Amino acid sequence: MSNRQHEPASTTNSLADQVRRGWSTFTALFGNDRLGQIGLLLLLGFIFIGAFAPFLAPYDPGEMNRDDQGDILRLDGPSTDHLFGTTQLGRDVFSQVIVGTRVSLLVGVSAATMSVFIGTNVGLISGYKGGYVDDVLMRITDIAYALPFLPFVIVLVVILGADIMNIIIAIALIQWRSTARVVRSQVLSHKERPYVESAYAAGAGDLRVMYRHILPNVLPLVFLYAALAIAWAIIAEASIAFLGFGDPELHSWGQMIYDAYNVDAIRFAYWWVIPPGMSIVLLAMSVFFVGRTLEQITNPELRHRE
Amino acid sequence: MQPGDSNLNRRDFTKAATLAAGGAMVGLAGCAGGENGGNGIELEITVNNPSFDPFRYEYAQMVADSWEELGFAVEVNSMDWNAVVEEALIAQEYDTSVITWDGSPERIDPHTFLYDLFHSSNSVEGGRNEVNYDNPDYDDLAEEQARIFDDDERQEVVYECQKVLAEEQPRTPVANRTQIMPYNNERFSDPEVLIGESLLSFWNMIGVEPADGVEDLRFGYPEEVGSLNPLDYVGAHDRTAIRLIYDRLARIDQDGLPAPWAAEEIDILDEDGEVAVTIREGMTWHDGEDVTVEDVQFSFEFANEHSPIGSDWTDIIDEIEIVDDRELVFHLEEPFAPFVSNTLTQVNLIPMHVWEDVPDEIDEEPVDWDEPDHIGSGPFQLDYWELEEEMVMTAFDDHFEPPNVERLIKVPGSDMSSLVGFLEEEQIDMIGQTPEPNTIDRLEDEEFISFAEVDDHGFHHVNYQMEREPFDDVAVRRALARAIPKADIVDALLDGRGTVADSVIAEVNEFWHNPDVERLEYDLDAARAELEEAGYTWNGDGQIQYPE
Amino acid sequence: MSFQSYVIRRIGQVIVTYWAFLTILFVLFRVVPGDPVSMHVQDLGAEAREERIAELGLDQPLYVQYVEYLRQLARADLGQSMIYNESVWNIIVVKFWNTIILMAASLILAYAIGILGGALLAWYRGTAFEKGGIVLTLLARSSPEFWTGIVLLGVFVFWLGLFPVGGMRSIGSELATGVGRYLSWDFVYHAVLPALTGAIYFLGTPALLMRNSMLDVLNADFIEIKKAEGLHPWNVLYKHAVRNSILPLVTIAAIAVGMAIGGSVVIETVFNWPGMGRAMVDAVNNNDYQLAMAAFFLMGSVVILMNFVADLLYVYLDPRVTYE
Repeated sequence: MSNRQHEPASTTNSLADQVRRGWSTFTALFGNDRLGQIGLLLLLGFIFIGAFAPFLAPYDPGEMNRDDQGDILRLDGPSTDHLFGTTQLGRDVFSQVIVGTRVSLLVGVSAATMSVFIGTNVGLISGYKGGYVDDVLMRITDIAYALPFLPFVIVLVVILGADIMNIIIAIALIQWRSTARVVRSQVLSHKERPYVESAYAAGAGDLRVMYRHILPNVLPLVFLYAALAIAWAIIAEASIAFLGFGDPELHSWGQMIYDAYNVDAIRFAYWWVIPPGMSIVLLAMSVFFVGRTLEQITNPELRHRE
Repeated sequence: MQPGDSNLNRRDFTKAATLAAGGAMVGLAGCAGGENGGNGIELEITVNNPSFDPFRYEYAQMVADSWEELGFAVEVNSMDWNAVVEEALIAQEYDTSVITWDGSPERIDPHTFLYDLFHSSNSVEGGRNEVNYDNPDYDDLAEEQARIFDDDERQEVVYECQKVLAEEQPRTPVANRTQIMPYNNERFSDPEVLIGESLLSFWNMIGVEPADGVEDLRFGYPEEVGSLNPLDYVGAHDRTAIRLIYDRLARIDQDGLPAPWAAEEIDILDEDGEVAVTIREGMTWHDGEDVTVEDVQFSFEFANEHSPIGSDWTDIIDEIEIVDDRELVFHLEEPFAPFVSNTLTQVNLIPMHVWEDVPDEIDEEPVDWDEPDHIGSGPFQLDYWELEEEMVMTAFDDHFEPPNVERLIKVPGSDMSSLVGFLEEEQIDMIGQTPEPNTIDRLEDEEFISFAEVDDHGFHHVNYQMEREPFDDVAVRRALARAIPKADIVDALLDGRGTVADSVIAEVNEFWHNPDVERLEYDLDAARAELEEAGYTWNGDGQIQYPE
Repeated sequence: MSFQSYVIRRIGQVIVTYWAFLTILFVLFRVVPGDPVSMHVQDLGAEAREERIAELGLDQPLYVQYVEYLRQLARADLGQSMIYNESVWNIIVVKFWNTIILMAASLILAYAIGILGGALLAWYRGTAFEKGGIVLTLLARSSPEFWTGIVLLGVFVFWLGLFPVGGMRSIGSELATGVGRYLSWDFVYHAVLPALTGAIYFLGTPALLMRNSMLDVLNADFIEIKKAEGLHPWNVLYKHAVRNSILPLVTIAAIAVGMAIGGSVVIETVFNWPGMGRAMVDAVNNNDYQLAMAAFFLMGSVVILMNFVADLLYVYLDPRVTYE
C-alpha cells in the first residue's frame, strides 16, 4: 500500500469551513462512483427500515397468526396478508425481517464502534509511546490475533449468556486487533513528521499531540476500518445466531435462518430463508461499497485509476 | 381467539424497544430493568434456549403470557441448557422452571417418577426432588409402593400417590409428546416400538423385519454415543447402544413390564426380598466362553463397587447366593418392588474373565476403561466405531434371539435436518427421534416412508421452587397450574401430536396411570377464585398482591 | 538487526503469546457454566454426581488444575474426553485432518480463482467486465459461509440432486484408514460443495489484492517501456506483473489459513462435515471441557503458527522491509 498521505489537517479551521470541506470531499468521492452511490442508497434504506421498524412491521414478529378457523397458519407461502409468508409457528416473516434490520444495524454499529475505539487507542498509544508500552500492547494484539474468531465468540457467549450485548462485546473483543495494527503503523510514520515536532515546540503535551494532532490524520483510515468492521460484525452475528448461540429473544436474520434450518424448512420454504439471507448479503455489501469509496481518501492513488 | 394469544410475545417488542434506545446511543449501558417494578408478585420462569429444545422455550413464553394475564409479573429467563442444569436442577435457585423427564424404559415402572422426584430425602442439592416437595404423608405412600411386589396391590398405592400429587401440584405436568419416527418401508416393515423409545427400542433393533436382500439396518440419531463402557450408565442414549452388546437378566417388554431375558425364570421367593433367577442354558460371550452364574454374580457385585449409577441400582442387594450352575438368589436388604424392573433390567452382564483384572492389573478405573473388544453376550457385537461418523455392529449369531439384520449401522447426524436429508436420499433407514411437525407432514407424502407412532411416558412439566414464596402456597401452585394452556400448547406447538398430561404417570403407561386424578383444566376464572380464597387480592392495575 | 536475530526475537514473542493463549483457554473453560457431569444430572442423582466430579479431579483448587493442565500440554497430552471416555488426542486427530484437508481445498480453490480473476480485473480495468467482477467479488465477500452453503445446498442438492446432502463419505462404505480416506471419488464427491462454499467466501481477499497490486505494477513506467520494446502484453503481464503481485499474496495466504480454521465451524455444521469446528461446538454444548479445549487449542495453534510464518515470509521475501 502507498505511504503517501494528506498533508496534516490544520486545526484552526472554523466549524463551517470544516463542514463545507467535508461536503465537497463527500461529493467528490461519491459523485462519480456508481457503486458507492448504490451502497449509500441501500445503507440509507436499511437505516430507514431499522429506525421505523415498529411502524413498518405489519405484525408482531412473535405472534402466531391463525386463519379463519383458528388454526395456526403454518408455513404459508407469500400472500397479500403475509408478504413473505409465515414460519412453522405462523409468524410473519416480513415483520421478522423488518425487525431484524434493527438487530443487524445495532450489532454492526455497536461492535464496530467499540472495536474501532479500542483499536484506535491501542494503536495510537502503542505507536506513539513506543518502548515497552508498545511491546506490551502489541503482544496483547498478537494474542487477540491468536484466538480463532468464531470459536472464541461462541465460548464467550456460552459463558456470558446469549444476550445481544454479550455477543456485541464478544465480537468487539476480537475485532479491535486489525485497527490497532494499522493505526499503529500509521502513527509510526506520522510521529516523524515536522508538524508533530512543531506541536512539541509549541509546548503541547503527549495527550494533546496524540489526540489533537496525530489522530485527525489517521481518522480517515479509522473510518474505513469502522466501515469494514460493521460488515464483519453483521456477518459474525449472523453466523453465531446460525450456529444456535444467538439471542433467542430477538428475531435477527441469522436467527431466522437458524430457525428455518432447525425445523428443516430450508429445502422448500424459500420465502422464509431468502429474505433474511439476502438482507444480510445486501446490508454487508452496501457497507463494503461505501467502504470502497472511503478507501480513496486513505489511498488517493486509487482515485486516478478508475 | 385462542387463550393467551392477544399479548403473545409482548416481551419481544419490549426488548426491541430497548434495543432501539440502545442503538440510538450506541452505548454500552445495559438494558433497563423490567417494566414491572414494585407492585405485583414477580416470578421468573427458567427455561433452556431454543437451540436446545425449541418446544420448551416456546411453551414457556405461552405460560408466561397466561400467568401475566392472571396478574403476576412474569419474566422468562432463558439460558444455555448447562446453565439451566446448574441453576435450576443442582443449585435449585429458581422460581419456576420448565423441565422434562425423558422416558427411558426403566422409568415405565412408576418408582423413579413417584419416589425419586418427590420423596423428601431427595430434596438435596443435585437431588432429583429439585422442587423440594416435603410431605411426610406422601413420603409414606412413596415408600409403600416400593415395598409391594404384587402388581395389583402396588397399583392402588401408585394411584394414591398420583392423586396426592395432582391435588398438591408440586410440579405441573403439561404434556407427553407423541413420538413419530420415520422409516424406509421399502427396506423394513413391522417396526417393534416401545413407549418412550419408539424406533429406538431394543426390540426394534433385533426385531424389525428387513425386506429381501436387506442386510444392514442404518439407524440415524442426532447425537453420538458417548461411551460403550458397560459400567457407565450416565448417558441415556449411550445405554441404548450398550444394551445391544451387553445382555441383561430381564428386559422391559413391549407392554412396559419386565420380562425375563438372559434369565429363563425370575421368581419372587419371599415378599421380604428374595428373588431367584435361573439363567438360560447355553449362552456364550462374544469370545466363545460360556456365560456362567459366577459371571452374573460378578456383574452385579462389580457394578456395585465400581459404577456410580450401578451402585444406585444394586445397593439394595444384601447378598447374591449361587444355588447351582444355573440358579442364583438375590437377597435384598428390604423389600424393593422395582428390583426386577429397575435393577435386573439395567445391570449389564459382563464377562468376569475380562473385567476381573480391572483395576488391579489394568490400572484404570473400570468406569473409564475402554475395553478393547467390547465382549458382551448381547445380540450384537461391535465391529468398528468411527467417532461421529458411524458405529457398526454385527449380529451375534450364537445369541438365543439373533437379530433379523446382519449389521446395525448407527449414524450420528449433526442435527435432525441432515438426518432427514439422509433418509430422503435413502442413505439411512430410520431415525430415532421425532422430526419437526412440518417435516413429518412433508415426509408423509413420500411413498417409501412410513411412521411408527407411540406416546412418550417422559413428561414435560413446570416446576415450582417450594422453598420460595409464594410457591410454598398450594393455592398459588394450583392457580398457576390452572393458568397453563396445556391444550393450546399441544395444539399450537406440537401440531396436536401429543397428549395433555394431568398426572406424572403418563396415560400411555396404561397399567400405572391413574385416570381419575383431579384435572386442573385451563380456566383463568377458576385460578383467580383459588387465589382469592387464599386471601390474595388485586390492585387497581390488576397486579396480584400477597394476603394482608 | 539481522534476519537471524529478528527471527529469534520473534520466536520469543510467539512463546509469550502462546502461553497467554493457553492461559486464556484454561480460564475460559473453567468459567463456562456447568460441569461435564451436570448434563446427566437427571440420570445421576446427587451422590453419584459428586463421586464422578471427584474422579475427574474437578474438586481440586483451580491453581492445581492449572498447573496440571500446563504439565499435561507439555507432555502433548490433551487429556481424556469426559463424554467419550477416550483420549482426546485419538478423537481429535482425525477431525483435525478432516478440517485441514477441507480448508486447504477451499483455499487452493479460492486463491486459484481469486488470483486469476484479480489479474483479469486489473487487465480489463475500466470496462464493464471489471465493474461486474468487482460487484461479484464483494457479493461473495458479503455472504456469510452458512448462507452460501445453504444456497449451494438448495440449488445443487435439493433442486438438481447432483451432490449428497452432507457427510464425508457414503454411509456403510468401506472404511479406509490414514491418507486412504481422502483418496477416493466418494470423498471428492462429498467435498465439492463444502470446499466450494469456503472458496467463495475466501476468494474476495486474493482477488482484490491481486487486482490492486497488479494495478500498481501495470501503472508503473517500466511496463510501458517493455510494451514499447515490443513484448506481447500477456508476456509482460506474466513476466513482471504477476510475479511482483504474488509477494503480498503469499503472506496474506498464510494468515488466511489461520482465519479459515476458525471459520470452518460454520461450513462443517451446514454440511455435516466431521471436522474440528463441529467437534468444538458439540463439545461446548456437551460441556466436554477437554475435547472443546483441545479443538480450540489446535485451532489457535494453527493460527499462531501461520501468523508467525506470515511474519517471517513477509520480511524474508520483501527486501524493502526493515526488521523493526
